[in-house]
Amino acid sequence: MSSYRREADLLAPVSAYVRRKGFRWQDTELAFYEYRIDLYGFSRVDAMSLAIELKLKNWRRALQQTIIYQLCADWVFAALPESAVNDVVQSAFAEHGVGLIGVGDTGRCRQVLVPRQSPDVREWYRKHFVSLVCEAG
Amino acid sequence: MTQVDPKLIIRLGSHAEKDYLEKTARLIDGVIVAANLVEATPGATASLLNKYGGKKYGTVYYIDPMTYGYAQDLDLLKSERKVKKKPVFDFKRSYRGLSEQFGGMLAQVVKKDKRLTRRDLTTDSAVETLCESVANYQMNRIGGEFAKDPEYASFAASISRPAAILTPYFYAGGRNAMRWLELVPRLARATAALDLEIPVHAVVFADEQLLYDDEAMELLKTDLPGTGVEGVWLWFSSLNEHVAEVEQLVALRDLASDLANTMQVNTMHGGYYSLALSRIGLSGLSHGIGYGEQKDVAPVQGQSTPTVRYYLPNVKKRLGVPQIERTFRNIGVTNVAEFHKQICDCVVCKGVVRSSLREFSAFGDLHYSSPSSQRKSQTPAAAKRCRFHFMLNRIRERDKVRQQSIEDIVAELEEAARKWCRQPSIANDADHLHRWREALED
Repeated sequence: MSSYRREADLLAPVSAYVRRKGFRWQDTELAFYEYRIDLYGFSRVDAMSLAIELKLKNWRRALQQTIIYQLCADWVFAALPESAVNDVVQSAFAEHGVGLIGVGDTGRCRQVLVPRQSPDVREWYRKHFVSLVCEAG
Repeated sequence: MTQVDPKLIIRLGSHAEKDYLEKTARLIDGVIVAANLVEATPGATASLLNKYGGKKYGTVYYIDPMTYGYAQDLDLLKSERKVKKKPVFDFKRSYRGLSEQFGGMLAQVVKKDKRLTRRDLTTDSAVETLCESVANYQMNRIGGEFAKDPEYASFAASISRPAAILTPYFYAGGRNAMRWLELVPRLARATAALDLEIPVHAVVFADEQLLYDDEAMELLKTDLPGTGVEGVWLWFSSLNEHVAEVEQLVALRDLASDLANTMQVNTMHGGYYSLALSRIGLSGLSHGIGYGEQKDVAPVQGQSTPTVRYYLPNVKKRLGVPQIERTFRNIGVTNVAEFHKQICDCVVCKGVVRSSLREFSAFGDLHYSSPSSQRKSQTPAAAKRCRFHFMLNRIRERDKVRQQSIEDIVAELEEAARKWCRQPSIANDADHLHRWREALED
């Protein structure tokens, strides 16, 4: 049982975690058609982008969404409370190249699964989001 | 097994949709309008039905009498408006006007603000009076609108009439579902007995759960034939062909196939599955322009304009642009020609996706619809593209189905399932392909 009550509670620790990994340019709740990307980040050093979906329980929904986000970010993650990450979840995400971040009760984040770089990324979407986060940053 | 050339009847939801009708009228088989729309805009609707229900386009029209509204929560027929600067929650002008046009017990519903109950329809004379007023309305309302205008009065007699008169109908759901359902053959018999010179069609409007009810299905199969009606329209509230279980789909198939031995069978809010049922006797289906392939008894209220999604012809379902775009690499859509080959080559798609796959995003363009909007919504131009693309594909599907056997359709669904159910962004939205196949070949 996790101590997080709302998905938004995961935002601060996850945002801080990916910031430490170099993704200093960030914005939240970005509209991508009918979806809203919880966190989009860009690393100027690596010139790489990432999109993260925060979810407390419904990991299947997170998987569906992150598969779509592979169109607009180089790396895509779902961030779940650590207690929600098990072998079934890991293998489902691994199959589609989506990374997993486990968020511990103390807010400590851990990369449980390394994502594959998306072969489906569309430069026009990526460019749009990178410019948005750089403006916001 | 009777094979029928299915008719595509488009339900006009508002006059804002006229443009779609204008451009596709020669390709569809008919138009159906709700009687409350007729009463909201009598002149415009009469002129539209005269145009599209005449010989020029070779189409027919129907008026949906919408009588069920008067037997449900009457607040659903009301809206808030200002009278002398004070807010008043009262019957919408269209439903008040319609009740006055019907007269009798339906006029009393509005006058007394008391909904119609089954007890109001206990006697044969009450049923006959209701049927007569509802039939007269459909027979004469459009011509009557022309007769009112001195300039057009002389044409009134030559104004075309509906292709069929729909009986009054009420929702069969909840605890008394069977009692309401028993009314259907009575209303059918009473309307047919009016000897109208125009075919009479019964309307079955019931809770989708009744598709699981053998007794309900048996009642319709046994009691509707012999009432004298030439057709029936089936509307199972909130039945969504895309999520319906095989058992429900089979029940609908069996009901349609059984009734088709004695009458024309149509679905009031159907989609591709209904089209496929034409191979076992279903005569036609109606739906809105880019929506309305399912409808619930309770109207949608206070919701923002829904996004019109892109209809993926192979999957027979509307999906989000990125869901489809995400499949491109996997299925080998790497250029425009391949898009037209594998996704769609209708004139809309050929016009939009011309030089780059990037142009596909035009079907999902978003904007802030007003300076105060918090969220982006689909642009009117994107919605229009999706609607026209859908209409052209539905017409194409109807034409194709006319040439197919049930086995051809089953094989096509199987092939589509093999291809699309493997796509991770679509798999969850393509399950119906399996269920439809199973229900059709059962």
